[in-house]
Amino acid sequence: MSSSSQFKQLEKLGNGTYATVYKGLNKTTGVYVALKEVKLDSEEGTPSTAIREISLMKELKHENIVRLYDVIHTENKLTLVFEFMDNDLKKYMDSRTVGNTPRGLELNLVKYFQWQLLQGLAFCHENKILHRDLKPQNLLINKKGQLKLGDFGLARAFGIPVNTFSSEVVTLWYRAPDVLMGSRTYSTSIDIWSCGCILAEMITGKPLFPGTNDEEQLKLIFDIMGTPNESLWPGVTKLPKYNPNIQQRASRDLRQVLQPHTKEPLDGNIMDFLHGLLQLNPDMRLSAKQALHHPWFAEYYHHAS
Amino acid sequence: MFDRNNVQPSRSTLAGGIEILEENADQEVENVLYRGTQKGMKRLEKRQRRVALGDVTSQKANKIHNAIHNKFHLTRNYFDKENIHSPAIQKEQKNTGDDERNCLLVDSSDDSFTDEEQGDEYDIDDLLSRRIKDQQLQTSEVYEDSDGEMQEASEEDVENAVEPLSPINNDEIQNELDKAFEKYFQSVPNPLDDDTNDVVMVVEYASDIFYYLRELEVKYRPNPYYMQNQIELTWPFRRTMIDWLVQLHFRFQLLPETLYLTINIVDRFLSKKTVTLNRFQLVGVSALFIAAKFEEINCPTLDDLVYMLENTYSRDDIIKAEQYMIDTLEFEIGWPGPMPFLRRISKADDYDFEPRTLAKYLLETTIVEPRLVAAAPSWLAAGAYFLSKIILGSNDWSLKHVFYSGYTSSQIVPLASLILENCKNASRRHHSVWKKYFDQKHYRCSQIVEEWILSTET
Repeated sequence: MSSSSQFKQLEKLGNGTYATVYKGLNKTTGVYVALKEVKLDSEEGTPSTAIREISLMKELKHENIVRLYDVIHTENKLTLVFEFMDNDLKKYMDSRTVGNTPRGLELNLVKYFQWQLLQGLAFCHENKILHRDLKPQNLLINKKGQLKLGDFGLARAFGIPVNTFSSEVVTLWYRAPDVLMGSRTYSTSIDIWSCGCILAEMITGKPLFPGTNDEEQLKLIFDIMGTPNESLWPGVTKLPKYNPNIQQRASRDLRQVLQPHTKEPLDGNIMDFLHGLLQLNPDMRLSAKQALHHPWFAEYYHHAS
Repeated sequence: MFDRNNVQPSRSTLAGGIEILEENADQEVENVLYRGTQKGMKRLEKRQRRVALGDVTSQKANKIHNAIHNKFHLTRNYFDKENIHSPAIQKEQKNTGDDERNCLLVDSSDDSFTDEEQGDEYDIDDLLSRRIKDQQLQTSEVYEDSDGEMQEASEEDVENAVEPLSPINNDEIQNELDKAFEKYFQSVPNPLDDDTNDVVMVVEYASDIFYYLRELEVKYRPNPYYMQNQIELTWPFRRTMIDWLVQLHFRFQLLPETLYLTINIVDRFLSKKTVTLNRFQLVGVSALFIAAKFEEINCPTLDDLVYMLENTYSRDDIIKAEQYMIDTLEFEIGWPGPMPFLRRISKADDYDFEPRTLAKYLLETTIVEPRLVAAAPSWLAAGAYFLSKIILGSNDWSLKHVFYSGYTSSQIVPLASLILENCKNASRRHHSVWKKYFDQKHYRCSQIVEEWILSTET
């Protein structure tokens, strides 16, 4: 275990879900790190978020997951020493906005980022860990174009069958419709919905479903994806927050929604892939493993194997 | 990076937390030495060291001990009341006289823990009160002293010399395991299997995940000989402490996963550190606190815990102990426990409810058994399920069971026998577990097992 004197604290990088993150310099090695500081003056001792994040991240060593190097535990503070990343996907996309018009990323970069996102996520799921807070802010990138999953503050381990969990997870815009309707028996598919939202956002440069509350969030989703019913999604009407009086809508063509916001043509492959992630019925969504074998990624997996 | 040799806890960081009497390195040497030592020698040495340390005299230890014992009894009585009608309590009071413990029991009668809605009556008042009396007599044998010297009863003698139990392996067994794998392993989910379409079964990842869980259970295994390094603790103390933790866990209505993780945290911590008797319960409650934070959606608060401890330890004690324990375990909390394995085996019988439910009781009895401290949770789950099937009258351990459990019957039989042996003395060996499963809510599992044992004996 290192001591805090080993690191020089530099500028503040941001506020995480339960902590403050600084850039740091390892004085002995000259390597930059990210120092995530968790205050321990809480009423309840070490926060459960920190216990989960650290214990889970220690298990997860993968090139698309941000590495936790060390933990410094002092009387009133817990410092997590992470691999330093130059940027996050949110800031990177913001930096490309021209005037007030958001601009999407080039499709080959979108594909490369999405590939890495799913590689990291598949690894989490194989190691029985749900991230539960995937969003552009939590995807860290560096100048080499690498993308890594960060901020496991809401992550948790799951058993088989998956136990019921809290439905108070995932930032609203990226939260799956089943969770929004109060399902507590979600599983790996919860992260896949977020991946779909992130993909659409990378294409257009703006969030796909920017709701302000649960109700509006569901409305935005159904406006585009159509209203679910028992034949498309058996069991949906039994979800705790299912609203039987909701206005029925047919699904819209997702390509027509996205195409005006990108210069490059969206072909059948990418649209089929996106539909695979954004299935309303969680059972119908692709898994991360399946997604990595989708024809849209053909050029990668042919390389890889 | 996470090198435990570099973790240097000093006494100062532990002020008010857990007292450390010795450092780790010494223990490991002793561990080796001790294993070969005769039982009697060991006890003698233990005594001498206790005095030599000048820290805790036997008298003091004894006093602490009684205090803890009373404490345990206090909560035990809370627990009893929930499941027993008031006449049983009356009877018990009459039977056991008027000592301090019973005063505590009377005091607790007006609190919110009384469960008035005891709907399902079964005529067990007499049985229960007799057993409780037995239990108290039994514990008195171990705990109560006459001359200030801690008395060690025969059970302890036996238990200090525990040899850990683990599954055997040989070519024949390996062949059977391979055969099961060949026959049942599917690299692609079977579309005809109901699980394939059930999102919570995460079928696509299931075999990867179980492979990984088998790695983790080895990685997070406690040292089965740790009690030899403990100066003040013994296996019977551990039994009493776990008994109390079972009640605390029940009281807060926590998940079974949390209970198993709690015990694993306690045992792994004690594998690394020596703990004084007066801090033993603090270790237990802090382990429960950590496990609940890891597993539960709603974790008990510190105030809840302090209340249940009747202020034996302060909030600050628990916070410090928690932090120290987490550091000692280097934040490695993600131990899988036996529950996922139990559900996995259950697939061999199409998730038949009965054997799995009965197995839950049998599985929970293993947490107090010293010989199973370091046993793999996958094996424990297999043993409990195996025995459960026998009790329910089906003796087939098919190749399918071998595949889903990962163990052959010859690997399981010694374990199942041990579990059964413990169940024969259930009310004494694992009192609170037995009690909990006596209830309708738990399908009277412990009652079923007892009746079956009686039927085989006559």
